This record gives sequence, C-alpha cells and structure tokens, in this order.
Amino acid sequence: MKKFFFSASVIVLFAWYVFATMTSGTNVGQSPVVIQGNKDNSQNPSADQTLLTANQSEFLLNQNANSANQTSLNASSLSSSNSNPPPPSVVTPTPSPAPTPIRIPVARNPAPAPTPAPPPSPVPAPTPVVPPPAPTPPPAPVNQGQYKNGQYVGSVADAFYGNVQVKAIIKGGQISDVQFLSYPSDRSHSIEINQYAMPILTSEAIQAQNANVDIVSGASDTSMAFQQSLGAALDQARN
Amino acid sequence: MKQNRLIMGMPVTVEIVDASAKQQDFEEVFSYFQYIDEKFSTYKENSEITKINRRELPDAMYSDDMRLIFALCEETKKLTNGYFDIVTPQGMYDPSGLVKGWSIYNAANILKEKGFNSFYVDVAGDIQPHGRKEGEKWKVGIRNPFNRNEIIKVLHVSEEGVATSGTYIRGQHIYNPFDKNSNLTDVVSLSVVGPNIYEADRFATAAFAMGKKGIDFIAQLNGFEAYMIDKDGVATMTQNFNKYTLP
Repeated sequence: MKKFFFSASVIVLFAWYVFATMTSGTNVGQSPVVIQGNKDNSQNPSADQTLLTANQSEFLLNQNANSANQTSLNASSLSSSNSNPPPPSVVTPTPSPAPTPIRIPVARNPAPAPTPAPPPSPVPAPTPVVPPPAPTPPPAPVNQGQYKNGQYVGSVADAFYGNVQVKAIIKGGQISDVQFLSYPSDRSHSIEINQYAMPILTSEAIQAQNANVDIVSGASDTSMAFQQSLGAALDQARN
Repeated sequence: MKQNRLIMGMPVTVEIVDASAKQQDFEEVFSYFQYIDEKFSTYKENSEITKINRRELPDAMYSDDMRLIFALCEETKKLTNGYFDIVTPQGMYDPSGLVKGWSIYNAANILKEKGFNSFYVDVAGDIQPHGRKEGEKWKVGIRNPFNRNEIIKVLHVSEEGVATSGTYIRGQHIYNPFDKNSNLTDVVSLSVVGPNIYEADRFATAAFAMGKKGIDFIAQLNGFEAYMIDKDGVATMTQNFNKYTLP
C-alpha cells in the first residue's frame, strides 16, 4: 500500500484546498491564501477555518530539494577590483521549479480583539496595533467520510513558474490519493504529493516588538529621499 | 566603535566591536563607498554609468567593476525570469538594485580581510553582519512600514545578509519590467534574509517587482527567507523565516 501521508493534516488541508476550488468555483490562482500562523482561533468564523490554525509543526514538509543547477560565482568574478584579496566564492541559487506554495484563505476582516486596540484604517495606514497572539490551538480532528467517492480534478492554479493542477482520489469517503496533473517543470506528469515538498507560507498581522535592536532594516522613507536629494545637490556643488 | 556617513545619498553605518579597530579602518570603508558612488551614481554628471547612459562610453572602455556589474545583472535577470532588469522605463541603465548589496558585501569583506571578528555594515537598512556582539547574534529590527519608529520583527543574524525593499526606496524606482506603467502598491515592504547581503539584496529587488508573487519566488529559493508586508498591514512569511526570530 502506498504511503500517501506523511502528515494526515497536510492531506486534509490539501483536500480542503482542492475542494474549496471545486465547490466554490474559486479560481485558486486569483485568491492568494495563506495559513494563519498565530491568530486566535476564536476569531475564525467557520469550522473549516479551524483546520487552518494548525500549528506549523504539524506540517512536516521539507523545503524544496536543492536544484541540480546551482551555479557558482567564483571569487574573482564577484570581487571589486578596488579591493585586494578576493572575497569568498558565492553560490548563486537557481530557483528550483517546484509546485506552488500551499496557501489557505485568511480572514481579512480582523475580529474584535480581547483587549482594546485601534483597528487599522485604510489610507493612510497608521500602525496596525494588535494584541499579543493567543497560543496556537491544536488542529481539529479530521472528519471521516466527508467526501464523495471518485476522482476530482482541481482548477489550474497559476504558480510563479507555471501552472499547478491536482487530482484528488476519494475512496471510502476519504482522500486516498492526491496527484499532480501539472506542476511547473519541464515535464508534466503525475507526481504524488508525498514525493513533493511544497513551500508553505504563513500570514500574520504585523505587531510592534521590543525596539531594543542593534540595527534596523526597513524601506527608506521620505526623510531618506530628502537626504538623498540633498546629498546629490551637495555632490554637484562640490568642486 | 560605530560611525556613520551620508554617502550615495544614503546613511552608511559601520560598527566594529573589536577593540583594535582604528579610524583608518572606518575611513577605508567609507572611501570604498565614495568610489562606488563616483562610478555608479546615476545622479552624478560624470559618473561612469552616466557617461554610459549618454552613449559616451563604448563597451570596450568599461571599467572592470562596471563590466562585472553588467554581467551580474544579466545573470540576476535570468535567475528572476526577467523581473530583475536594470533598464529603466526611460531606456537608461540603472544597476543600483544590485550595486547596493554588492558594494556592502565588498565593504564588509574589507573588514573581514583585516581580521575583525565582529562588525556590521549597514547602508540604508541593507545589512551585512559578521560574528556576534558580546556573544550574541546581531539583533536586526524590521521597521514598521507604517510607522518608522516601530519595529515589527526582530531577527537574530550572524553572517546572513538582511535586505528590505519598499515603496519609498531612495531614488531607485522599482517597477514591474513587464508592465512598466503599473504601480507597485500591494506590497509596501519585503525583507529578505540570505546567505549574504549581495544575494539578499538582488533577490529582494527582483521579488519586490513581482508584487505579491515575490514571496513565492523567495520561497522557492534555497537558503533564503522573506517577510512581506502588504498595504493592509498583513505580513506573509516563508516557511522557515521564524528561525531567524530566535536568538
């Protein structure tokens, strides 16, 4: 008997993904969905969504295997001619053609928070301050016999490197197999899900942290633009 | 010792923890950035890149570094399916999306070659750290794109480069090369953690031009993690991004 599952919750999640597209007619490619990593479970309006708040550790998927085509920049090709010794060589990653990440719909409207906090306003957006996340609840139990027997083909989803389409096979009311009909790669053929590592994305509302840091990384803002402009003007003024 | 200067129109901060650091070591790093500015600044009348854009410099006369940059840009364009493209909508070359990370990487290597064990080089929020500060990894905060006084994520890094692309990025107009008139507004901030700042920065630049798909692109790269913030304040992160939030 083939091993379909390396994590039961993954398969259920995937079947939910497939069924969401088939039953609701949603074009998966157009509604990007992400797992909610740490939202309070009580905020989820529907039973389906409780499946989605599974702890990330439930997902035992590995990241994509290394692409065979990693190119290497040798030391001399990266160094600036202005510095003397060559820097260490840099391995340039080649994006590996892989299945689209699993994404699950996220509730866009924030539910009322346990402690008072200002809701984020549209434009211009002030700091969306949210209360500390509740501990992630354990995943809901898998419902048995929820599906009709047969083979179901999901809609084609647009991944970055091409299209993804899956087929779910239901036997005894349960998912017995999920197959890739097409995935971004040179060849297209059916690949069983447990042979594939699919990247998983997680979403959360941004939240203020302790600002006691050594360095700050962030997109420059208008004050930087002013400094840049001033700098450029002064550069021209210089002899 | 920590020092900063305004070079290339950006705040350049260098901190060296080693007690043996001298003023001259900082000067060498700042001079290097001056050199980069003289050569690659599209705002300077007489920079090499401006001469190239005025068609005053034939290929054969490009400097070694310029040639190298063009080669790296071409390679990056291929790796990103064309989303990294240094040709602006006006038809000029602007390699700053790659030069920035590359120059920080080289500046940090200047300090590495000098034997310093603990330092970082930060140019307008693109960071190359090295070693640890008093035994702990460097703490890098990601700025809240809606409130510059707030930190919304703290990363702990030792050798990894951290680059953040955003809508207000200085002078460098990131656009979608496949739809040059479109406004990239969905994503306001994309932070990429990579093996070094050169890698993190070039892919952050390309991924930002992809809009919301940028996080998918980074997710499929080995050795990279990313944290994307959209205009509604919702963040999306790659699978193992959280490992960097652990000290």
